[in-house]
Amino acid sequence: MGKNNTPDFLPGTLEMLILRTLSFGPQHGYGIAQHIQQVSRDALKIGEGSLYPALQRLLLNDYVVAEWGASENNRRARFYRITAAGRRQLAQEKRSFDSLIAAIARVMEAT
Amino acid sequence: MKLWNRLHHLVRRRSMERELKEEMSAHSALAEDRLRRDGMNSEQAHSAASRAFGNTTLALEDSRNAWAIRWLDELLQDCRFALRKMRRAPGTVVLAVLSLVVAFVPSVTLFSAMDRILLTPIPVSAPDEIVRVMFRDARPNADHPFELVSYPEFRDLRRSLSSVSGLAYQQQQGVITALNGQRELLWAQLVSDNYFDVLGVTIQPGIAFSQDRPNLIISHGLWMREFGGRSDILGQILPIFGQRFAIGGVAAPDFVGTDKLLTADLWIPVETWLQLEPQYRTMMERRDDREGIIWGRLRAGVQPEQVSAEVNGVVKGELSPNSPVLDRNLTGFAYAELAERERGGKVITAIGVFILAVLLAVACANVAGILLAQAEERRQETAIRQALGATRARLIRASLVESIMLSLFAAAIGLACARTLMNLLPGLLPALPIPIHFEFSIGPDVWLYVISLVCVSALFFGLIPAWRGSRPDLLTGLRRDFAVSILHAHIPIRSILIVAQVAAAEVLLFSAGLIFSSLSTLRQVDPGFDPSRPVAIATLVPTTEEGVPIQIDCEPILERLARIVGVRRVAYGWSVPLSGSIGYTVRLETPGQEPREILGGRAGPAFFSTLGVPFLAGRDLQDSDRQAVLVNATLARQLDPSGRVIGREIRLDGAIRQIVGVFHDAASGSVRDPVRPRAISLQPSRSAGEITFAIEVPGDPAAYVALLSSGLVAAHPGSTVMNSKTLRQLYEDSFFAERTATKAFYGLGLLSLLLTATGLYGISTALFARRSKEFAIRLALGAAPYQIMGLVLRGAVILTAGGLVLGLAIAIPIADLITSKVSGFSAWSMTALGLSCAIVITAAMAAAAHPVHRVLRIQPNDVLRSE
Repeated sequence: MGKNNTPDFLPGTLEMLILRTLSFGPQHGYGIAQHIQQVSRDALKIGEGSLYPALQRLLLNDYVVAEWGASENNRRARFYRITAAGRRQLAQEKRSFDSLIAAIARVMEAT
Repeated sequence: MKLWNRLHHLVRRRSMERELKEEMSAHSALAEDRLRRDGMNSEQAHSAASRAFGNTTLALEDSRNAWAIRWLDELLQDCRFALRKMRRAPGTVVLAVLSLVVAFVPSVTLFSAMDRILLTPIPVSAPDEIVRVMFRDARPNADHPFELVSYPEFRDLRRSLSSVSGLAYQQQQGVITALNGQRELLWAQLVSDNYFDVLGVTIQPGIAFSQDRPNLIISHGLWMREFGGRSDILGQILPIFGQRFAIGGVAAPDFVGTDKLLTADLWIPVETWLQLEPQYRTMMERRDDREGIIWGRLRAGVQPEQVSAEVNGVVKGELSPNSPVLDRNLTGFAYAELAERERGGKVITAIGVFILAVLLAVACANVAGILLAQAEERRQETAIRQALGATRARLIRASLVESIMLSLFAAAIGLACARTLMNLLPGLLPALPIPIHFEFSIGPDVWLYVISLVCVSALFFGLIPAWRGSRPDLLTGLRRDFAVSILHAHIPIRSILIVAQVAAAEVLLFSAGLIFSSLSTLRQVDPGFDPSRPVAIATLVPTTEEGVPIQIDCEPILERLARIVGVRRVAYGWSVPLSGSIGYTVRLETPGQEPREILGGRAGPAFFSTLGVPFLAGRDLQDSDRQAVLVNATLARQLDPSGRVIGREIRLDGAIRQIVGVFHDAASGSVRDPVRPRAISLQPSRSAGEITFAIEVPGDPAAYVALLSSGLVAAHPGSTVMNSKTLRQLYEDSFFAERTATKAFYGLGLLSLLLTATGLYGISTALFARRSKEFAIRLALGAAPYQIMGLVLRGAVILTAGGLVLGLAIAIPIADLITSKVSGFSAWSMTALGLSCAIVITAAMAAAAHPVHRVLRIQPNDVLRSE
């Protein structure tokens, strides 16, 4: 239960992507999903069923904080902002992700 | 931080979920806006956005899971589930809780009593260095192997002992004081000025016994009770028998004297006391009036034996020459009583806790039996849960939660009962002339004990049923196949326990019967007066309103009492039979015999006749009998074997008296005391000190008890009246110990009977649960119901019979022993034996009745169809 909410991602990567998105500035849930989709050129589509549990986990760990505000077309929306702890977590996750990718690449490119 | 966030979520759960829902719908709205901008119409945009979002409920559920404290959620679930299960089987719950309560109530009550009396140390410093000094009568068969110390002896010892750095004196003394305008009787201790220094008890606030004016120390309890803990009490005046004492200080909070049961509220320096109350001096200066307890503080490196030896030397060398009553048989004896008591208290507590643990283990075994039977009946339900994916750990936990809840219910009821019992206990004691303030409270130690009791017992009775009940065998469980059962064979240890319980119940009930019969035997002892006479008595302690003792004239009081409607006869006297005190001794000199000590006493005119004391010869005392004396039959026989002593003259304490009457040997202290020679002289009409009035009335004397006391108070306002009761009550109160013991043993016997019954019920129910299908088949094949009932009953009968045999094997030798010692006892002990067996058998059969009765309700078709 609740262990495998992001079947398309390696565990933990969704949180990393969200933190990365938020490192550019506060954003609401829809904005985060849109941003990831656009930047990945539609390769990564975040289902809301994964997005919101992931956001809750980030809130629980104090990596982000949330407050209500108005969206660009004046709808009430909840904006997430990354915290200092969140930035530290992002840096650490990026490091381990990089080493993982490098390791996978070495395996794949070995002749 | 994470846990804090989770707890915060738990508290704000509803509002946080509402926000999440709102956020999700905002998300869909933003997506819809976008789709509309891209050219879709509203309807298409809405359904596309909803499709993209997916299952909202699932998203919500997953988000919620991110926050949840899973174990707490599951625990709450388990609790709810356990409550539901309990509601479905209230009978089992009541039975299980009841058998636990039966073990919890004595556990909690006894433990808190032991905690208060045995475990809490007396707040003295270094108790190992404090020795109690007393005299030992070295002769074999000595009446009093240990003797207290008189005040003059104490002074000698204090002067001469070098092995102790200080020697302190203490003597119990009832006093009358005036508190908040009310006269009150209190226990005080007359102590030497160094008392608190020797014991190392702190005085806070205040200081111990300053020299400048008469002062005393009060207990912390009295300070709280009567002065509300006010800080301005130092120097306040507390009148004792009308004498003005200043409060010099308050003793350390837990200090109530060196005895935790006979507590004291005041400490008065003995020298000050003797100056202000000179009438006590004569008594306290008597060397043979040994009423003092003395404590010494050992010098560094000195052992108690050295003190004993030194006291010995003083007794042989210094005390004896001065002592008018020469007692060459006394030797010194010193030992570290307080430290020994502390150590002994721990040992007794450990033994007590062990016995209570055995009781608890028995109760737990019974509950385990009941739960096992229940687990058997719930096998299908368990199998369904397992089929739905419940892990074994989860099932065990759910089952343990249920056990803990049972245990908690039992603990709550047990605590409430124990509390009530503790509040009732002081009321069960016979009314004491001076109340003892003994607070029974449930302190932190007791709470800790109760909590561990709950946890340990829940594990003890819950683990095995939980373990066995959760055994993963789905198929057989779902099919309810009777060939495989969690109960397997009989558990021999439970059977042994039941046998032991039956035996214990049998022995206890038999003992209760024996004590009851010994009470009846005591009742056959002639108390020396007629308790059935319609007489009410009350004791007057004459003082002024301020509590100053005064001399009174009894005659006007007699006239006043005689005017109460219906009163036939009035009398006063000092020596009351069965009053618990044997009174004082006088020196008897008769021609041709060694002078010796006999019991003395005083009675007013016709006092003994009013109490119904029969006269064997001569007459009762009269007004004019200044020189006359009454003797009891024992003394009369000693004076003259033929008993003809009327008119003879004897010398009592130096004064010549003439015997005018011989009265029947009346018990003095209690009917258990051996009768001693006794001489009663005339109580003068004018006297000081306590005096007892008796009125003979028509009909029920109980109605006159209050009239008598109010009459006495009206005659001397300010005086205190104690012990007002009827002659019958006086007689009954003297059997208090036997009556209490009978009640206690019956209580214990019934308790173990209840335990046995629940145990038997558990075993019979389990047997029924295990074999119900077999029974159904047998019935279908034509067996008669009574045959099946016999099968169920057989187990209970065998266990009960085994227990009875074991119980009788223990009880009969006891009965034999007592019968050989006490004549006329055998009839009684046979009755007690038969009665206890009958009670045990009845209880056992009652316990097995329910499962046996269920046989009648077996419908073979229904049971077999459910296969």
